[in-house]
Amino acid sequence: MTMRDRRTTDPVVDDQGVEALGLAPRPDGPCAAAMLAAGVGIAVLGLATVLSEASEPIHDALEALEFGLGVGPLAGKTLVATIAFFVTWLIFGVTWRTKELDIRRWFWISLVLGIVGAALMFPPLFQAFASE
Amino acid sequence: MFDVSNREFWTVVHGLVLGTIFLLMFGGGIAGLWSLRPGFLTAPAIRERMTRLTIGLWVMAATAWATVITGTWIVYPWYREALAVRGDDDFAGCAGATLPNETCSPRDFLKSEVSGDTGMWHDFGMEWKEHIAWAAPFLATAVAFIVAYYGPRLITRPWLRAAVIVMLVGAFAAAAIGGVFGAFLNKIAPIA
Repeated sequence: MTMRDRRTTDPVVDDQGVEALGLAPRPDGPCAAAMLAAGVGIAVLGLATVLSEASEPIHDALEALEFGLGVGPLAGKTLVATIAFFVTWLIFGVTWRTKELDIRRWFWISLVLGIVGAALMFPPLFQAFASE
Repeated sequence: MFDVSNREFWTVVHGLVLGTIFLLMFGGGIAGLWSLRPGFLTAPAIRERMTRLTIGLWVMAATAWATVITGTWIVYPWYREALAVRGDDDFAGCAGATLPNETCSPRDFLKSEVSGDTGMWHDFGMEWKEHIAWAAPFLATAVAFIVAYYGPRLITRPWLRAAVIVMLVGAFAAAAIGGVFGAFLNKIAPIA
């Protein structure tokens, strides 16, 4: 179904009109995997930030990943989070490649992971875990 | 001539060039996603817009990665060098300094508080910025993929489109925190 736009001879696409574009539906699995990967990446970074503050051995292990460039523990935190992001995406992207999932559910799960991760990166919060 | 040091060059590339491109691309991305709704566009307009939106969002994601990688691995080590330590005094090299210098890095300068109440700029501003900014590439990459994957199908999925907009705004917010604190920090304690 289409509506006529006054300024053009081309029909404006409405809900049903999108089907006229000839697009086959796509499963939501790959989209859920991308959302989840972002949530996991942020959550892992938040968790690494707190653990680096709370534990001297973890702080030193994360700092060792700076490859002598002077980045400090931030190097390890961001490397671990980036690896978690891509590995999560790879695993779930392949597993859910053709799956129809409840995309709303996976969005909310990813959002909670993202919010928790972001909260853990807030300095007054993660500095409260400082070991000393 | 236009004399610029290596450190000044990379600070500008990280904060001004890449950061600004990212923040500008956000405006185009949010406008494109917002108008991707039934009854707004003709079929030729959808095809043209989807190509532009998809390319724009991938550029935004790539820029986000480039911004955090240059910031963390090139600029940040200059910021956090321990230059001022002499014996038991962590900030002896900053004595009398009004700006960071060769014996007082920006972090030394802020934490020493030799030029005012500056400690919080590091303890809160830099500590928040250096972590939260990394959320931007994660979110921007996921958004670019989702828009490329569904294409015009997003027009009939208002809830999903809204979810993608939330993720894009999240990426912008993370980058904005990094950008705003970066601008202030570079003003108060520039990398010399």
